[in-house]
Amino acid sequence: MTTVTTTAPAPGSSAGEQPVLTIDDVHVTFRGEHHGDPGIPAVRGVSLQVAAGEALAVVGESGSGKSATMLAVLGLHGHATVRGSVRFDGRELLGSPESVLRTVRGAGIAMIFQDPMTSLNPVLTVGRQLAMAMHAHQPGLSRQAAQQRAVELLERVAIPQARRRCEAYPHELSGGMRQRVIIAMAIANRPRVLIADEPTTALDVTVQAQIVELLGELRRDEGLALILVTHDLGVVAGAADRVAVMYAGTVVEHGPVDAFFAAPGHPYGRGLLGCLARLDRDAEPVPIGGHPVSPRQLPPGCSFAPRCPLAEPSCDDHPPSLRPWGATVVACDVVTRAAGSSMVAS
Amino acid sequence: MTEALHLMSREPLLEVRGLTKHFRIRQGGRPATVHAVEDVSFAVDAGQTLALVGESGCGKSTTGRCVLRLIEPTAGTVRFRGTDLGTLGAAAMRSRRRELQIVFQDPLASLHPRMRVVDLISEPLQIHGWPANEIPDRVDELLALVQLGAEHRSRYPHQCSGGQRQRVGIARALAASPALVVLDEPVSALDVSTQAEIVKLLVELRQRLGLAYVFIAHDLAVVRQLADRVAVMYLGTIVESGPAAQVYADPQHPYTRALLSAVPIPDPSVERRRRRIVLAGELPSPIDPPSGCRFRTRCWMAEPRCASETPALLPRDPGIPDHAVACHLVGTTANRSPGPVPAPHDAGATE
Ligand SMILES: Nc1ncnc2c1ncn2[C@@H]1O[C@H](COP(=O)(O)OP(=O)(O)OP(=O)(O)O)[C@@H](O)[C@H]1O
Ligand SMILES: Nc1ncnc2c1ncn2[C@@H]1O[C@H](COP(=O)(O)OP(=O)(O)O)[C@@H](O)[C@H]1O
Ligand code: SF4
Ligand code: SF4
Ligand SMILES: [Mg+2]
Ligand SMILES: [Mg+2]
Repeated sequence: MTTVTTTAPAPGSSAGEQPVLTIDDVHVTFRGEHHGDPGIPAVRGVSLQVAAGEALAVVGESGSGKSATMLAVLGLHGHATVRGSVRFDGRELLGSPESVLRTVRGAGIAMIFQDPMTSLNPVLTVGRQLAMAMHAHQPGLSRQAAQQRAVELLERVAIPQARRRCEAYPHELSGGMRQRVIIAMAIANRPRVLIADEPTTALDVTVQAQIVELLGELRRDEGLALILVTHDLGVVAGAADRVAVMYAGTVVEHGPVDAFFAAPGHPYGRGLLGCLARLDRDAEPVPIGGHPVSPRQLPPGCSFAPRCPLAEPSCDDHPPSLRPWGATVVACDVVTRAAGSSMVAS
Repeated sequence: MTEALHLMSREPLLEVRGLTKHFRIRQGGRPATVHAVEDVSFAVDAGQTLALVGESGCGKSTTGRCVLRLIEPTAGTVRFRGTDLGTLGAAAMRSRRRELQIVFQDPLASLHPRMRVVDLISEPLQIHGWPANEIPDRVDELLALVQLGAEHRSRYPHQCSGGQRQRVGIARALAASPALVVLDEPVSALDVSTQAEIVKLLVELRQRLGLAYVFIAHDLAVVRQLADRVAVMYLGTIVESGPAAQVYADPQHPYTRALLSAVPIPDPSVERRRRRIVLAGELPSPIDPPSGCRFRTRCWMAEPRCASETPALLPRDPGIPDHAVACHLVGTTANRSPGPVPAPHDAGATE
């Protein structure tokens, strides 16, 4: 297996801001089905970090390893080998005992999962589930206090008639309302980091606008560090400070949103932006072409090479590492080399 | 009406009038009525694309299914080439369906898992009585048309990617050379790059085959590239319809404006400057839709008469006769209000 080494520090939002969560060279390999099967290298050396009040977006096509990376942060992989380092508040989480992880999950780092229905129990009322979420971390909390706080949480996520909704079952709520309840559960124990995996994918655009607005408020008002996993670059532009683009289990581009959207560096980043249908431009979307590579059949060098319009023979030699490219970092030797030489020339 | 007469009168290929569909359901043991589609009218000319847009549950798929008579409308007429489809018997309808096809959102759910691609594409040809000895050639032709390599012939749906499966679904719909295809969210389940591929394919097929589309979508950005006309639905009714360029550039109905403003734009500087209309409250239930204007519970301009009078879909301006809007205030100064006063927390204020 190849290890991607980071030769450039990943860009942070503002100098001096201590990250509250640091993901460092994380690898996730799903175990093989039989003896001798090397398994599926779903995540291959991902490094990311977020500071309080900051929003980092993680984008990439289906199967690029976004969810697998986030599950690794919370130690939620059953059938996978996880390597690397995940530090929350300076404390190492990978390899920590389950008891430590349980404290961190929810109270330190909360996660909203991709499939909204898996996060709610269909046979329990919303109020009951909120109370259970709180009791898991605050066992001493009285019934009344938990009830009161549940109402406050639902009000916090702008659910009307919060007191009455505490008695509702998940199926009685609309999709948007359910997602608000899930967010309320996620913030019940005042976490410092919220990982939201595709929180708006199943929702309509007007509801998505409401949820994105709510996440932004939580970030501003409560200083939450937000990791927003999404495939929608439009949402990224409106909701994130930084963006990391994943391809075939690695981060191929990472930087401030302004720099990325103004001029993405990596050919895959350019492709992702170029294939979008957009309301503000007439240019026809251009498909990237080809198919995402299977993690079981990775090319020897750059994993984007089979689809890349800039590919050169040397791209098959070794996997490129992240190098500075303007305000961002880009894992493409061809692009960063060209930038380097033009800098020398001028 | 005969075909010749229809050509002379320049009747649209498809004309839907007063389409209404109510579903009778039981809710908590009591009978109830879902007002899924209410008095919907639109027309599609040969070779033209109408985009039917709106959020989930607003009645787009139900409208599409009524057009093909996969379900029976409660009221209203659907005319295809001048023929009222409601008057056709089962056999006549089946032969009409050759010209009137549908592609569904989820290609995996709409393709039989045990059938190979070649059989999936042959099936509609057999149904429509294509000569058996010509079927293999026609299958090859269709595979080429949807740009699927010959290696896909013997694959099963689960061995194809989402985009490839959707190509199979399109090939099936095109098998018997239809004149109109209802595309029910054909790209919603796909990755962005694959969406772009399929939309590009649909544009090319329209050019080559002179197809008319009813393109059902919830994503206004995706249909922009294809649509000649746009009809915006809310809670079972069309609230605005018109030439696509007109609706996108100068939306008149408050809901259309909210919907357009909610579509994220992949440009941080634009997003920061943008004034987004964040709609308050929830979509009301179609079991008990609001009286008068169905949008009134979420409309920031609603007046007392909006609760008592149902606004008709009327031309906004005699100068632009084919841009129609269903709002009492269209053309008045009130309708120039840029959106609700920012109050992001009043999500329940209208309840
Ligand atoms: N439990 C599992 N066992 C084996 N392989 C898995 C498992 N979960 C994920 N994978 C594989 O790991 C890779 C990354 O998957 P992951 O779910 O992280 O993708 P993603 O980027 O979140 O995609 P999406 O946008 O579809 O949610 C994929 O190739 C996937 O097939
Ligand atoms: N077979 C059915 N029985 C009862 N209600 C239905 C049925 N099909 C659709 N509906 C209801 O009709 C409304 C419109 O649905 P649909 O046409 O599927 O919306 P869209 O395609 O715009 O998402 C929704 O409220 C939906 O729940
Ligand atoms: S390293 Fe080569 S193949 Fe990879 S993205 Fe850059 S140019 Fe393309
Ligand atoms: S008719 Fe009234 S409630 Fe309906 S959209 Fe117009 S102003 Fe709003
Ligand atoms: Mg995922
Ligand atoms: Mg539908």
